[in-house]
Amino acid sequence: MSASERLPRLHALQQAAERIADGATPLGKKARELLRDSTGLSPQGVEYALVHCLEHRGGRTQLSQLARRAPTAPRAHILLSANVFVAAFRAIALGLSQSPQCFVRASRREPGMAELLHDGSGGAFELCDALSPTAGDHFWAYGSDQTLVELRRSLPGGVHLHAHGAGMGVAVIAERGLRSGVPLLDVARALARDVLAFDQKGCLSPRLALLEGDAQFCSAFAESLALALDEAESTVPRGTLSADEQAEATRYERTMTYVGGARRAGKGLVVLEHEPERLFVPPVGRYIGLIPTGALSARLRELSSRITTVGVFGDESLPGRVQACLGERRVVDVGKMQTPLLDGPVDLRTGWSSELV
Amino acid sequence: MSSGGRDHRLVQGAEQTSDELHARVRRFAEAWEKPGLVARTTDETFEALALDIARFQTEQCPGFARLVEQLPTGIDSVAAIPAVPTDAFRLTRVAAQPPELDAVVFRTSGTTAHESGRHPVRSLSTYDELALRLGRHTLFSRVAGAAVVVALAPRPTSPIHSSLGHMMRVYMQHFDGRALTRDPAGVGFDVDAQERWLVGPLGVDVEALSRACKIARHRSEPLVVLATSFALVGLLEALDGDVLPVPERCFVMHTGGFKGRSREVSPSELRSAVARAFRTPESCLLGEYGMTELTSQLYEAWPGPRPIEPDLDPVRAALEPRLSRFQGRPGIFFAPPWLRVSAVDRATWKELPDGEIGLGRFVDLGNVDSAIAVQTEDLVRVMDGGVELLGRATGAIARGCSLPFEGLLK
Repeated sequence: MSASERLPRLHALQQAAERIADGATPLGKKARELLRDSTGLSPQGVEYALVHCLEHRGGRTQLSQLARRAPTAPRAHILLSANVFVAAFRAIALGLSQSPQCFVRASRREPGMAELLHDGSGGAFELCDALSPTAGDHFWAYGSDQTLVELRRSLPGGVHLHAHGAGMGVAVIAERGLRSGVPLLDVARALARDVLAFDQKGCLSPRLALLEGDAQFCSAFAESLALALDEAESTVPRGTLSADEQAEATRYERTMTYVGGARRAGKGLVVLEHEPERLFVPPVGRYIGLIPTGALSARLRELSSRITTVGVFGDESLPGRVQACLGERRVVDVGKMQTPLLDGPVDLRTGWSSELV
Repeated sequence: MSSGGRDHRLVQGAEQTSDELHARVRRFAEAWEKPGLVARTTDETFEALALDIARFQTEQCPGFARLVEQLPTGIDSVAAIPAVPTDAFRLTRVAAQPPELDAVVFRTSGTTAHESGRHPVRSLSTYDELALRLGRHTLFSRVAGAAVVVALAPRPTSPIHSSLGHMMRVYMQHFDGRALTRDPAGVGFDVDAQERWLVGPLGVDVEALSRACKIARHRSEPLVVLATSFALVGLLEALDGDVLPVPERCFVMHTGGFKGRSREVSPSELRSAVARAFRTPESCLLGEYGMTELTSQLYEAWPGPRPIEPDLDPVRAALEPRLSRFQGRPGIFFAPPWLRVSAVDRATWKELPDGEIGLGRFVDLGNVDSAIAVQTEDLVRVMDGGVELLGRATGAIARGCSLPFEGLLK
C-alpha cells in the first residue's frame, strides 16, 4: 500500500487533533472536561499540554514524510500508556503511517484522548479492548519496562514489536551560552516550561540538569529556576499526585531538605547537588536535580540508557558533544523538550527499529 | 529552606552537652532495669529525653535544623520531631560532631544501593550498654551463667564498619569472654579469633561450628549462635540435612534479610530448618532487627518460658504483658523502653493508629549524636506494643513511560 493511500486517515487524525487543541470547539471542550478528571493535572496543565504539546500543527508535507518513512505493515497495533495523553496522537499517527488497518488499546487509566481522536477522526482507527496481533503485524507498545517484559512473553511469534519503555529528559546548561547575551532567567524559564508540562510525568520530562560552569553560575541558575518554577506555579499550577507519587515526593523533599541545596520552587523543589558529579534522580511532580559537572560526557554516558531527549543551552558545539556521547537522541534547545517534531518515534533509543518476537 | 554544603560544626560546649545526654540515656535505661535502685535518682521520661536530644540536634545539625524550620509549631512533642530519612545517611553526613571526633563509622551493606549509608558514632559506650541491657533480657535471658558465643558472620574489618558485627563482638566479650577451647583457663580471650567468626570467603565453616558445639558440650554450657539469616541459609545448604553436635541447650539469634542475594527463603521455612539443624525447639530461635542508622535493636517476642528469676527482672516483668500476648508468634518484634516505633502514612509521614500498616518511624534515644528519629522505607504494623515487620516498601508502581524515582545512580 502506497504512502498516498495511508494519508487520508492520517489527515483525519490530524484534523481531530486540531479540533481537540482548540478549546472553542465541542471536541476541544469535551477533551478539557475529560482530561481534567482523568489525568490529575490542573485545568491549566491540561490546557498547556493541549495547546503547546499536542503535535497537531504538522502540515500535509510533514504527514507525507512520515508516511514515506514508516515501514509498511499489514496491520498496526498500538498499546497506549497513560501519563502523557497527547502521546496518543503521535502513537496512532505512527500506526496509521504504517497501515490503514490500525488497532488501538487505550490506557485503562486514561482512555479519553484515544476516544476523542477516534470520534473526531470519523473512526480512522479501531479502538479495541484487547489487541490480537498475528505474524507480520507491527505492534507499538508504550509503557513501563515491566509492562513491556510481560508483553514480550504474551505476543505470538512473528510479530514486529516496537517497545518504547520508560525514560526521562535531561537538560544540559553551559555557562558559555550566556555569552550570547541571553539572560539567565530566560534560560530558566525555558527549562521551567519543559518541567511543568504533564507535571514531569512524561518520558521527555527533564528530571536532571547537568550544569557546566562555576559555582556562582550554578547557584545563580538554581535561584533562577526556582523563581521560574514559582512563576509557573501561578500560571500553570501543579495538579494532584497519586498516592505513590506523593510518597516519593515526600521522601525526596525530606531527604533533600536534610542534605541541603534544596530550594522551594512552586510545589516542587530545585535541588543543587553539592556533591560533585553525583546523580540523584528526583521523583516526578516538578522536582529537578541540578548537577554541576566537569565531566559532561561521562555523566551523559552513565545516564544514556535512560535518556530520551536532551535540552541544551550553550555554545554551538554542545549538541554535537551530546550526540557524540548518546548516539541517536532528540537534542533540542531548552524549552522545546516537550514539543518534538512529528517525524517518527519520539524515543530515538530504538527509533523505527523493531524486534521480531 | 536554604542551600546546603558541608554541614559540620561544633558549637562550643556541644561535646559536654552530648556527654550529658548520653549519661541521661544510660541512666534512663538503667532505671528500667533496676527501678528500686535508680528510680530515686532520676525521674527522666522518654518524652523529655527525646525532646532534649532533638533540641541538641537542632543546634548541632544544620540538616536537622532545616527540617525543624519547616514545622508549623516547632518540636513540642515526640510525634512532632522530624524524622531523618535513611536516604540522608547515604547522601550526607548525619552527625552532630565533626569527623575527627568519630569513634567509629558504621556503614550499611550497600547491597541494594549504589552507595552505602554511613552512621558516624562519637561514643560507643551508650551503644554497648543499651545492646547489653536488651540482650540480657532477651537472647540471653535463659542463659544462666557462662555460654559459648560464636557468630555465623564474617569477622569484622578493622576499623569496624558493621554495626551488627560490633554488637556481636560486644555480646561475645560480655556473655562469653573466654578462649574458645575445652579448658579456657589461662588462655587469653581474643574476640576477633577466627574460630568465633564462622563465615569466611568460602562460606560457612561448618567444621568450626561443630567444634564450638563440642566445646560447649564439653563444658556443659549453652551455645549461643549469632547469625545473619543469609548465613543460616548457607549453613543449611552446607549441612545438606545433617544436624550439628550441639550441646543440651542452644540458642540462635538471626537477623537480616536476603536483599540482593541469589536465594530467598521464607522466615517460617528457615525457622523450622534451623531448629532441626541445631536440634533445638523453635522457641530457642530469636529474630533480631537492627539498622545501621539506629543505635538500638528490637527482638522478637520471646516465645519461651518465663525467665529463671522473674522477681529480679523488672524489665522482663514490665514487658511480660506484651510478650505474653505475642508468644509463639514469630515475626512480632518489640522495642526496648528507649526505642519507640510507629507506623506513618507513606505520603504524609503522619502517625497512623495501631494496627495500620505504614512506614516504620523509629525514635531512638541512643542516637544522641545523629538522628533521634529515623524514617525508614520498611513497612511495619504496630499492635499493642508489638511491631510486625513486613518488609521493604516498594517504590511507586512504574506506570506509563516516565522513569521511576531512582534516587542515586552512582
